[in-house]
Amino acid sequence: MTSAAVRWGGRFALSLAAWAAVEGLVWLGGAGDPLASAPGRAAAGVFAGAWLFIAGFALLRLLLGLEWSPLGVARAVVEEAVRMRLAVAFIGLLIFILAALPAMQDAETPLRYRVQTFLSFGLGATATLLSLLTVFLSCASLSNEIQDHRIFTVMSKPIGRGPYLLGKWLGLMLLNALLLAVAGTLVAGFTWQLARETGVDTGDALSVRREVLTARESRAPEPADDLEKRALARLNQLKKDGSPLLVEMREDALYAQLVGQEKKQWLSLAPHGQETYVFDGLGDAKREGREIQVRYLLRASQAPPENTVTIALEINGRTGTLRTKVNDYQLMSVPPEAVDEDGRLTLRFINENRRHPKQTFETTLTFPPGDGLEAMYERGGFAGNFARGLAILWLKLGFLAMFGLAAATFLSFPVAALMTLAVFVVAAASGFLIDALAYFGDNERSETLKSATSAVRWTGLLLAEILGPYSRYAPAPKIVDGRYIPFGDVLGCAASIGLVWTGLSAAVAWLIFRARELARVQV
Amino acid sequence: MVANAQTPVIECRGLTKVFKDFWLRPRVTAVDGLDLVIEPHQVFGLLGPNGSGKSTTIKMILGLLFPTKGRIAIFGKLPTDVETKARIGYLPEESYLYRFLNARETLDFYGRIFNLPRSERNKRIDMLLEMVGLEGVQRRPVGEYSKGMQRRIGLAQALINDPDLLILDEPTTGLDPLGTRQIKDLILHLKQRGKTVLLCSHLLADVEDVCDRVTVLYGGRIRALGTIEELLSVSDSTQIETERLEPALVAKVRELIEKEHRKVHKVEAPRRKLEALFLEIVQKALSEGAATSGAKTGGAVAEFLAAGAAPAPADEGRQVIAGLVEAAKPAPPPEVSKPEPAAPAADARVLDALTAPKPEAKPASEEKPSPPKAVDRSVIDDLLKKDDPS
Ligand SMILES: Nc1ncnc2c1ncn2[C@@H]1O[C@H](COP(=O)(O)OP(=O)(O)O)[C@@H](O)[C@H]1O
Ligand SMILES: [Mg+2]
Repeated sequence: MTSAAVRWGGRFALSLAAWAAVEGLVWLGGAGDPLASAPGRAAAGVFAGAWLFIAGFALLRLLLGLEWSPLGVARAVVEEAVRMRLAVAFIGLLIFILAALPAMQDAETPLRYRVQTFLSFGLGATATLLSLLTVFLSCASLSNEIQDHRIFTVMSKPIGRGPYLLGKWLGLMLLNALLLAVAGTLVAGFTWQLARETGVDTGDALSVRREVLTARESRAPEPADDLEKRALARLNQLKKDGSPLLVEMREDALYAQLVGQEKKQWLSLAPHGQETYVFDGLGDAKREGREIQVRYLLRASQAPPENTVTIALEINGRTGTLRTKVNDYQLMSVPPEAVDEDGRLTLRFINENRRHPKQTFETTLTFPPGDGLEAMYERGGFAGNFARGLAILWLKLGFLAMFGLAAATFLSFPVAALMTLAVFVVAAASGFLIDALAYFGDNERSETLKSATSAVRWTGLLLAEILGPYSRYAPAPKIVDGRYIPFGDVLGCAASIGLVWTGLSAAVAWLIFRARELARVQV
Repeated sequence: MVANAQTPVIECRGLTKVFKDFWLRPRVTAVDGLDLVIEPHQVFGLLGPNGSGKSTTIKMILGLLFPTKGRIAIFGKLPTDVETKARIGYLPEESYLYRFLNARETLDFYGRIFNLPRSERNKRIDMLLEMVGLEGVQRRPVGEYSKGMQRRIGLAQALINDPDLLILDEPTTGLDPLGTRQIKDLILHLKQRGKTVLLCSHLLADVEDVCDRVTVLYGGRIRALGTIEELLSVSDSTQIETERLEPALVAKVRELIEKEHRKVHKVEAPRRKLEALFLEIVQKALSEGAATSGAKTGGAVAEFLAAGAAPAPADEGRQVIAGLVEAAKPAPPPEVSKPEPAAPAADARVLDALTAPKPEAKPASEEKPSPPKAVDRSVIDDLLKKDDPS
């Protein structure tokens, strides 16, 4: 006991000394802050990553040592991953990516973008690597065990097939929790470190704090009620006129397009035109006295000189002049007092230079639908947001793990892994697929081709729709943009992906596994 | 000591297993209408050539395969019953282990499935590791072990729960003579403690020494069934065992018998060997044209190999191997107080002593059938003592 403590203490001291030595060398090399250079960062990453992992693994082993037989099965999964150097390979690769990334970025780029790029790549690498690890490990750990007959011995012991599967899954979940914790700490740590660097100007440094290392609630403007009514009216008009559009397109697709057009219309300002946008649900910000950030992007149909236009903005009946850049996201700060008693903020944009109407640059300005115009306020800190994001990632990995196990109950390793990988890709891309498939095949002339493509479309859409929550719960873009991830998202993800999808996979896995002759060999 | 009116440990009725191919066409009838009853406290031998359906039967008993037809009851329950598994120990025909776990962790892994409390688990693991002689290498991953060492771990894992029923599928493959010897001792010991053992083998010596009842399978069917005595007693001859007679006296006896128009077949060979019976059964099955999906009896040496080659003197070869085995063994520890002929080197003699029916010859080894090593015995005793009244 004490000798082990001495041994580990020695190792820690030794690695600490080695790390300090590397940082010292880098410092002597004249790099200034050693952590700002790739080797210095790599050394810090290796030191921190290794010890975090060692400590976490020790903790995990304690947990896995609890007296419950599925945990015994879980322990074997974790030990396999660790001893087969899978976990080490993952952490090593991640540290390499994280250490190398900032070095590849141009120091002239605003710090905010550098931090965001780093966060986005770091989280993306973590999620992708861990997903792949989960796919392969879940498939391998079950199908190889069946294939090489190890399962004979286990299954002739008093453990049911359900608890056995549960043990496998728990092992994967706990391993993922450990790896996510290590990777998350590294990503967050490096991000903080990077954010300490000096920006290109004071505004830059401030915007890192205000727009990235934060968690902001966001409200989109409430669309005018008559948008859909107007779209429907236009559709009926087209039908009455016997428009050729209705021959070329399905009615629902045409309607969706019309709604889109109306919405775009609503978000557009013709020269000298104006539009009012109402943001609801800002009562909390008013009560807590938090500044409102209006984030917007104006697209100009014709480029104005210096990419700048002068327009007017009316808040609560008071009009002011707004000189703003176009074609780039802008942040405008509004005091919380501007929010009314019902928690509403009303903005009116007028596409006109009020003081010199003659000098108005004649162009249509458009807020692109989606995130072209929103009102935000700080709701929480970066760390909590980041942790909730990781929790969502973990739940998604849990589904992959269960699906992999389900596939491995009846498929050999390569087939099971391929199938799980395919599901992962479709799930991760489901948002994109739904958009892409919506109009797929509409332009086909021949009837046979039309029905064939529509079959493809519907199966694709069905799959993508089923797996939709997977891409809808994507925490990384929110974390990168400093957007608040409500705890409700974690719960929603736990319900839809965790309970429904993981549960269904588990049920399928259990049914197949229970009915399966484990000793049957099929060549 | 215990009434035999209990439910049989294993009961199979009309057990049939037909392996189907991918298109569900029947391809192999591995087990064909097997009726099998194994009573408690028996050591039951399942004999048969390769591919005769022994392992398939065992896998059905354990619920790893589902019968095509027929019923199985194990301790009166279905093979899929999870609770009864707590009373079973199983050594598969090959040792399939987690390569990355070491010996200790392997046994701990299996021990945990039985929900053995940690202290009990550790105690048993220590004893078992010592018993199978792996305590010195317990920290090495079992993937690095030799086949025989893996076999030993396999055996240890089958015993971790002190099972009431031990199923051994070809337990001695890959084991050195000492290990083989140990397995036989273990089986006999377990039997003494009232356990039931199902021993499945194609190695006749294994079975003959330890089994109470034997079934010989061929092509998935039972070809012979009975106690070793029944199967091996020869009904059409009489054997007279006397103290050693001089040749002159033998001639006189022979004369006397021949005067009665009886024939004297042989003067030595007190008993038929199981090997002869086995070969006879297989031969008979073959001549009847019985179907098997397993291995057929091998033919003569392939011509291209045999041509011109001088036949190797079989006995010489055997002696060379025996010599090698002797050389590889550690010198027997100096035995001071042990009267038994238990030197590990003298395997053949120990075996004879065990098999030969000599009730009065070995008073000292009545209780313990010739331990090869004093430590092993006590380890087994300790491990198994718990519910042993004696
Ligand atoms: N999973 C399987 N699929 C197809 N045939 C099998 C399978 N397992 C065993 N067999 C066949 O069943 C027969 C009996 O095999 P087995 O019970 O393993 O024999 P043994 O008596 O040597 O243990 C053999 O012909 C074997 O080829
Ligand atoms: Mg076999």
